[in-house]
Amino acid sequence: MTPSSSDPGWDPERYLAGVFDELTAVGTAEASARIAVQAAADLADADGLCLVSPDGDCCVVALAQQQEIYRCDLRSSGLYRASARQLPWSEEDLLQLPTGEHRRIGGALIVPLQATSGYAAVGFFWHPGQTADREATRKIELLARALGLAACRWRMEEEHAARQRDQQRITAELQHRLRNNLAVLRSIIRRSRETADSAEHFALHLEARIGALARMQGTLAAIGKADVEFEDLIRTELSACAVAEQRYLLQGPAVRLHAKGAESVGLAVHELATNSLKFGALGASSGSLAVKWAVIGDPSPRLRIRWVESGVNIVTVAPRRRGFGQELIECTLPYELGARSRLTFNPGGVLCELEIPLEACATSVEPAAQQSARGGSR
Amino acid sequence: MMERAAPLAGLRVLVVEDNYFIAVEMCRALRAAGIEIVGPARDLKTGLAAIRAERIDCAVLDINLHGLMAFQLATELRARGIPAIFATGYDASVLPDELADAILLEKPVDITALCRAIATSCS
Repeated sequence: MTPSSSDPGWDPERYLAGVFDELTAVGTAEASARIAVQAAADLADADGLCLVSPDGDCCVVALAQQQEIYRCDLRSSGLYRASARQLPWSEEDLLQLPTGEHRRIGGALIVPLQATSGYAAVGFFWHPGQTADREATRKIELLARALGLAACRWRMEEEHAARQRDQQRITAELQHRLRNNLAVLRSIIRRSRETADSAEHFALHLEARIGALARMQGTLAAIGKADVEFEDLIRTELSACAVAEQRYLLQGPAVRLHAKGAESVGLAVHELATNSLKFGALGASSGSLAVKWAVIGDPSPRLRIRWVESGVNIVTVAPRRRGFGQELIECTLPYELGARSRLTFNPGGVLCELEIPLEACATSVEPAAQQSARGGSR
Repeated sequence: MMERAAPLAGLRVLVVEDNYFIAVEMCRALRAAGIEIVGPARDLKTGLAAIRAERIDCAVLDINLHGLMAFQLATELRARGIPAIFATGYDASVLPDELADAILLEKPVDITALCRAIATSCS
């Protein structure tokens, strides 16, 4: 027995309470094991302890009279068997430390720990020929419980810290997006002002463009995913412009656009739809619109989109100067997505052809074999 | 801005920004201050190519380029003794230690502040 426990005024209950305080104050398996092994030696003359991990692969071993803490893989030594809760350590079993040194762990006292502690059990062992009597066993069990509770606590603290780090990362990312959006918005306001004919047009277009931006981001945020179905994107834009489903035909394979692709393509679709309502096929009762897309090219696949308006009787004149929508299609898409684009003002209506490198805009495409036609009126 | 125009005139500034509208707006404002624009470059690859091929006095870098971080560009510039200014939605805490002393302007970038930062970096 150690000097402290041989002291006549020594109270094991108070001593254990002190150990529990010490255990909860530290935050690592190593520090807890060191405190616990000292307590086990004081309370029951134990030689060492082994914290057994659920898979037996990273067990923590602490020895009385030694500062060193060891990490062992019990699976290789054969000591870790089916269930760590019933470790059948026998008189003959030797615990091999990473130093190569062996400790006899026969007669070990194994105490299961609650799963939330991150350990399956803790085993205490004695010098050869020694074991724990009933009184020592009771104290060791109390000590093991304190150790288990402390382990639960530091594990919860670790998880809490990890959640906090996640939270900070998400906040930084949101802040980044918000600031970026404000910058984009400011640029769009400037460009809209420069390309607008009047203050009224400016306000009207700007409002609609902000609406389109908000729809793209709202769609992405609402489904909680990082991508959006291309067909849904067109449909959302057209219905936001109050275009009846009978007026258009959508045809192409399932293609999921990622956030960046959806934002750029969505804004372009918005401009095409607005212009079509104002000057083109969607504005004339006889006009109609077909949007067809396909994935072409191998080994560098591209998404080819054809926006074809027809049935406009009046000869549409190409605008004298480049408007916002035209700039978006002819400059923004090539710059941001590496797209090739062509906007033609034909007598029957507008023809817009886009070819966007698939990797710059999409996350996935359905296999070509499953391609099916989807009409707007379905 | 007028009194800022003099020290900036003739400087060659590389702009790396993946958003078209922001890039156009920034380039136009810098040109108005007499700066000659290199780029704008939309991604790491074109940015790197510009650094290696062009004479540059200073660079303005967006940090997140299509999801890739632009720190590599700043390191490449620094190795050539060219100052880099970050214009980004992130705050300074995202900068790696070796770039922690770089000038960082938060978006939306104030053009007067940007011109001042370029003048300071190039003096």
